[in-house]
Amino acid sequence: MTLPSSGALDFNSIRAEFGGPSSNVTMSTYNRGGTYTYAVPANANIPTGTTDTIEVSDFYGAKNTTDYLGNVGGAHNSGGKAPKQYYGNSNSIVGPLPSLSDQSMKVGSQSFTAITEFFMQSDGASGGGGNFDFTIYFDSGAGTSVYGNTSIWASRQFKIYNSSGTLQNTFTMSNCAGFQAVALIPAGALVYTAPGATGNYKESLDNGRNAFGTNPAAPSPLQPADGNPALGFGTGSFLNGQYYVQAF
Amino acid sequence: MDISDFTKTTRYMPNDAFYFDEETNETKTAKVVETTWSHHNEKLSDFTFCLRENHEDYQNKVNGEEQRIMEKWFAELGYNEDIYIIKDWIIKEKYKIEDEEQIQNWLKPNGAQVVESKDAETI
Repeated sequence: MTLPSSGALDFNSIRAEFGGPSSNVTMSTYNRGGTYTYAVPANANIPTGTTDTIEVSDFYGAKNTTDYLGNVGGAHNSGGKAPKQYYGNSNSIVGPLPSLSDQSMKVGSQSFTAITEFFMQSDGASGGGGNFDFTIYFDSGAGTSVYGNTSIWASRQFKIYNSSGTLQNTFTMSNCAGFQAVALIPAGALVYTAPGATGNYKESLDNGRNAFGTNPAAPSPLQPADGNPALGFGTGSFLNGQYYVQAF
Repeated sequence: MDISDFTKTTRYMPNDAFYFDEETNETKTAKVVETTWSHHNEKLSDFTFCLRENHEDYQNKVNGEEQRIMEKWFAELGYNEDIYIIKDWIIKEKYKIEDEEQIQNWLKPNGAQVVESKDAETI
């Protein structure tokens, strides 16, 4: 939902749409890029700086946070002889990363409300040493009718913005994502789906399925999942701090 | 340390709010619900959160605010974020080795689950 694009609009309505405290609250609480107003293109009219002039009219047509995933990510290095560097948020897999405070986002036409993992990992003491992987765990109960739906997943783009609304990178799932495992993988082969039947997505598993490209049901030519190299996907360090994700 | 000992209450705010319903393309009004979190440790602050009733993302937003309040209480208690972390209302040491997988990785950092085994001829 959005706020009205004309007519009656007041501070109470802005707070009721974006959420916010009932006391000690000022208009600057709703600066774009703050806790309650995501720095996404739909909110471009809302100023970012706390000293900028901000008016109720800046919020005409503004979009609340429902369709975007917005969290403050962290960093963690596992250490040891085979260290792994992690960036992002994790509710359970990577204990030292912060939990997700926002667990909802829209992917294509499908809304999810129980996302529990969103992080990147790579090898090395400071990351960047190979074996890059991107993990997202969507709602476990959505079922195969959602996770086998190619219109939601195949070549789906995840645009990641920073707290200023600047696009940091675009991760694109493979054009096989969402295909039912039986449609792509020959009998007896190791079964990978992306996302899996319980909503677990890993870039490495998504790309693992590309090895089965001789199956006639597979999209041709096969395009692997990847970040945008031109924007320097790198270690995913842009997930260390405030970030917003758009996937619709 | 468990800090889940708090009370959550709700009430309607006096004024209704406007919002735009994208399905019917109409501007509508709705009641505004205020949620208040009060910790049983009186040294910790109370926090409030307002959102319109029947907001399509109501539960997620309230849950998200609850996570932020958990972090605020964690900070009010004076814990060092470099050493401690809070998850599911439990404060614990950030790098403490707890589960069996962590223990095995600590004892055998190049175990079979990290580095695939190769036979001697391949090496």
